[in-house]
Amino acid sequence: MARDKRRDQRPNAQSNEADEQLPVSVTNTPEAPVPPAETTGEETSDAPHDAVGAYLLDALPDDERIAFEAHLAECPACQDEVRELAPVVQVLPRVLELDPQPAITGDPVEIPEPASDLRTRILAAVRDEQSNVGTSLEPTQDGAFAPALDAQQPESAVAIAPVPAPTRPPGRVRPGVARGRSTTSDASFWQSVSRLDRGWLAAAALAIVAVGAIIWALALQGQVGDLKGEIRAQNDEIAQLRGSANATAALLGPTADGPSQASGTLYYSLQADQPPVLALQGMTPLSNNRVYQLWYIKGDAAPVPGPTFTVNDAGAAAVPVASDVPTYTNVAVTAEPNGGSKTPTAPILMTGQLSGARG
Amino acid sequence: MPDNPDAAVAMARDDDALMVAIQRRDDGALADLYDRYGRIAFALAYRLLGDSATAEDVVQEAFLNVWRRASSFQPGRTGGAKPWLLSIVHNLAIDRRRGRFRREADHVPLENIAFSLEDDADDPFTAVAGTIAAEQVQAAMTTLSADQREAVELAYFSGLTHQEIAERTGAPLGTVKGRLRLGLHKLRDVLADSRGPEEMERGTHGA
Repeated sequence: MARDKRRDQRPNAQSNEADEQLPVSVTNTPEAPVPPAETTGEETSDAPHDAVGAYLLDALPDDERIAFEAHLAECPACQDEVRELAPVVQVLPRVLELDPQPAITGDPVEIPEPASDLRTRILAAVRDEQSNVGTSLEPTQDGAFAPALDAQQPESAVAIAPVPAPTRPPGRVRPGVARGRSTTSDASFWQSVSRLDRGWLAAAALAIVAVGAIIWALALQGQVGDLKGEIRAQNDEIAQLRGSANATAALLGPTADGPSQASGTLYYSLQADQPPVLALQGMTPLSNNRVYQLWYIKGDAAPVPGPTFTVNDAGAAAVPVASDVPTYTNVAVTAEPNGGSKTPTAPILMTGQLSGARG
Repeated sequence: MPDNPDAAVAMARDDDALMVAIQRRDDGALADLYDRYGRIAFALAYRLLGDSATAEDVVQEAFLNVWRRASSFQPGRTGGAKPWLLSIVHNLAIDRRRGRFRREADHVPLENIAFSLEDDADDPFTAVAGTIAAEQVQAAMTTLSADQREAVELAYFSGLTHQEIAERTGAPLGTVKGRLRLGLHKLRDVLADSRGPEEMERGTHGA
């Protein structure tokens, strides 16, 4: 993608900005001025840190946002800057509380009242969600869920008995874990996931956006410990995963059946010792008898079953995927009965094309 | 004249209580949240989208997101439920503007991400963030250079990408990035200073 590239390290020396200095905390950090060359994909030597303002203001297009988050994962100076500046963005909308409205660049100025029935509509939508529960399949005596390989699961489930939505203690986040019989070959991986510390994962779930799925994935590989410590300790491994030109990413998006807010990024490395990771967000948490399942698709061939997983309360998950995923042309996600299926039994919710292109 | 900071703190605590109730699936609490912040949520969405129907859709979606993800909200967070809701509104509205699918986890407020990386109780901004009044934010905006302010406002309130800002203002892309970055730093410095923006301007940063 062709973009205007700056030459300078600092903003243009226009008269009203000439004496603006970057904060001391940034300029004094050894890594800040010159980013390591091997981490840049399309960006030139001056670029990565400068995007932090645009990033936080959501002024970066998708591909640049992903690139910046990948950079953020391995740049402590930028992590510091994100931490400093993110709260500033949070308070910006407060000016809208002022009456009269202050002059803000751009249009419009005159803001109408929202429709008087908006409140009612919201509550009605919320009550719809409350009563929408899935079929309740009871687990078998040994705790395993028998996968219904032959049964067609209707998408709009009929409640056998209405069950109130479970209450959750504040701040608790469930990690994305597989249920029942996983179709991945590495059973010990999933065991280690279930032992991870919950408090740490709460922080991790929120940090996934800032530092990218890479941190999450590495942390899920059985490395229990403080997320901060992991970021620092694993910087080299992260850089290795991203690689100079070896790590690429593919974007997933929802189909007409999938949640409109959902998206996913498949980070895959062409290096054999680093498992690719699928990071998903915006997915709808499923009822207890269903899991999501990833499918590998090569051209017109039948989809090959991949790992099953669930999403946390925030609708996010990070799923290690088969290392040969680059040999496929597409991936897809469906919601299947617990334990997964040998062939998709439900409509595809998410799909992504793996043509080696990034973003 | 800035709001009483104690009132702001009390409001934030009330908001936390509302969020706890929402976590417990009390939809009356969600209605209360709408009564408090539905108007400003709509105002933000309307600025970004320019039409009422779409803005209402986005507000509805935002409150639904709050409902669905209430369990991931942590009471006691600096700033509280209002910035969380508004960041959700902002993200959804930008999605709509740009017609793209997007990670819902982006709607987790960046403040939570920032603080989850490291608990920074000594950070001067943290200390005041919960009590900052609308007038203070507006006053802080006036301390930015005209170019910085324009860039920040076009990005945040009009939802433009940096490329769009560059085209609109005629500035090079890198300059726009710098203005956004420095503008945010300036705002932070001004807002973190409890003496207030007027005194801050006479202080270290000049301009």
